[in-house]
Amino acid sequence: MSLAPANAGGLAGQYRRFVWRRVLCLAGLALAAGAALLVDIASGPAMLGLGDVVRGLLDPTALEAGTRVIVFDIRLPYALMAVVVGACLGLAGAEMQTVLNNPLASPFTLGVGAAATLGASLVIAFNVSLFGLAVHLLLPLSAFAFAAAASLLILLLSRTLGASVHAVVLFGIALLFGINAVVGLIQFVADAESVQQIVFWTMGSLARASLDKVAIVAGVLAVCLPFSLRNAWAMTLLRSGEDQARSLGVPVERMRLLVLLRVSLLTAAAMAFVGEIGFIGLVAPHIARLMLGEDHRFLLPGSALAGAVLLSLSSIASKLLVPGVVLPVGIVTALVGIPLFIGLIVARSRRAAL
Amino acid sequence: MSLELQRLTVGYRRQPVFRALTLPAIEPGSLVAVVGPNAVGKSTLLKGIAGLLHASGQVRLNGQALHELAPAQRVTQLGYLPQPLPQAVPLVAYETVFSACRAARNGESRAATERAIEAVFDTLGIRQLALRQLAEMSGGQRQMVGLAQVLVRRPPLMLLDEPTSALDLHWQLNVLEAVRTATRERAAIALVASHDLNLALRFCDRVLVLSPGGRAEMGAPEAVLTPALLARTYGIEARIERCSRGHPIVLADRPLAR
Repeated sequence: MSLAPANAGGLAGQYRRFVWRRVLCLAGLALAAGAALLVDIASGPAMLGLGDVVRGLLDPTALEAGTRVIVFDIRLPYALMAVVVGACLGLAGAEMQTVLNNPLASPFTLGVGAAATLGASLVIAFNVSLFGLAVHLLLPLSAFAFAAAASLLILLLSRTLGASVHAVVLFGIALLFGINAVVGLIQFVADAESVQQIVFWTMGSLARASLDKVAIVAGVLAVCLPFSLRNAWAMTLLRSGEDQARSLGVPVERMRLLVLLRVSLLTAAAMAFVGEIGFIGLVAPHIARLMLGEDHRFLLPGSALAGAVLLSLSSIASKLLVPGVVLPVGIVTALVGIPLFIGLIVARSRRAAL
Repeated sequence: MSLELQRLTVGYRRQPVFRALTLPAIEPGSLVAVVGPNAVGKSTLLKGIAGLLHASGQVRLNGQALHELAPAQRVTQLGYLPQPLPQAVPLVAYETVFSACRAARNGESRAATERAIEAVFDTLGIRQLALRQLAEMSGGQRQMVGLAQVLVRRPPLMLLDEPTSALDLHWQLNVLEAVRTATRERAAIALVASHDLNLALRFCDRVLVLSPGGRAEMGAPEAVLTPALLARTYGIEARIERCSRGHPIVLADRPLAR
């Protein structure tokens, strides 16, 4: 064996070339997210040229007053919200699937999403006003509080039972059904107008976005992402087997609890302002995994980017599917995401068959 | 320089499998087979030593009490191969082994880690698997990658739980040769849980026989593995005979009524 460091023919050299392809793939995803963001800003009832959008973003004074309002007050917050919410949900889903070792895990498996809906429904149906807060402030706060409470409940319950994967997933599913029942009950007793509002909330919409809300969600993402990346090697190791990871000093239980905490934070922040968007957290990590593999140095940022691309594309589709009407984005995500997802699976199985 | 177990109690939630197990000191460079019938506690013992199950009593490696070490230090002292094979996920073999080195945070330089990985892939003869995904491998191949995760860090104490359960005869010999070389060259100690008494007779310096009820006997393979002991622990009628090369082999004839 040669002792020269990283000789090109050696395994290390081969692995580096292999990793380099992933870096390119990740860069491609980032480019796709950027492109989707620009197209999202450009599309809508008044279609703008992509060149105008880029020029206007670089130099706002170059735009006419009317276009400037459309770009900066409406389209930009809307499009940025799609990117950050998608990224939050994608990252949360990837982390959950890894620590729960379950490909069906997503923020919704734990009932965190349903709890946010419950919080919002209570405010809408009973027209609660607390400490003189207006409904438009109270609604996201209540959604956030309920989502956080749901995860705390799961954390407490699973902690007392040893935080095994099955315990966490089963509690999550039980909670999901329980909360859905309560939301159903609220809809049953609420008046017609409230029911309509609740249903609209569960469809998820970017229309409530504003730049300060975007900043809050982006802030949560910026706080969570470094902690996620710090655990990248441990999570990669965990994928090969839990006992092996444990014997190498990975504190699996603690990591699981911290990840659930991060997931609830990311989900609650994302959902507080846009309502229920369920599909991204489940599928974005799978798309990233198909493209990038399981090395979490790439999978975690890749899932966030895949989530951002998916929700951006959904946002574009929500404006273009029915001319003149902006559909709630939560409805469109599955319509856009599923063909993309199936396409990737088919492409991969074809490659494997060759 | 040795491994000592003193009054070790290991088990699950108020149900100890072993109570106050004390063994003679195991010398460095020893390859020890841990044998015994199903559910007797072979895996439990290895997990207990590895610190994965609650254990009381003393495990001393080279005079240091293993369970009193900080986790980061303990990791440098032992390598554990769990009985379940590495999962069939889209991780390539190289990064599976690399992540084991990195997650253990051993402070080694990247170049040193890369050399160690290259060496372990060569030793185990699995170089061609390096960039293959675990998801595309057979069970035996994944088991080899799991072994590479342990051997790559060259731990002074190796705890291998049925490392050859998924392997064909060629790879069984390959793995046990590699483990024996590792123990001899580095004066390391390996505890290998196994059901294969003939591999134990052929490769191991000592055999630790666990019997139901938490009893344990340890000694040279030929001294310990007698027809009477096999009848008592496994409930079988067996012979120990010599092959044409003079090696002892276990021939199991029939199960005894229990």
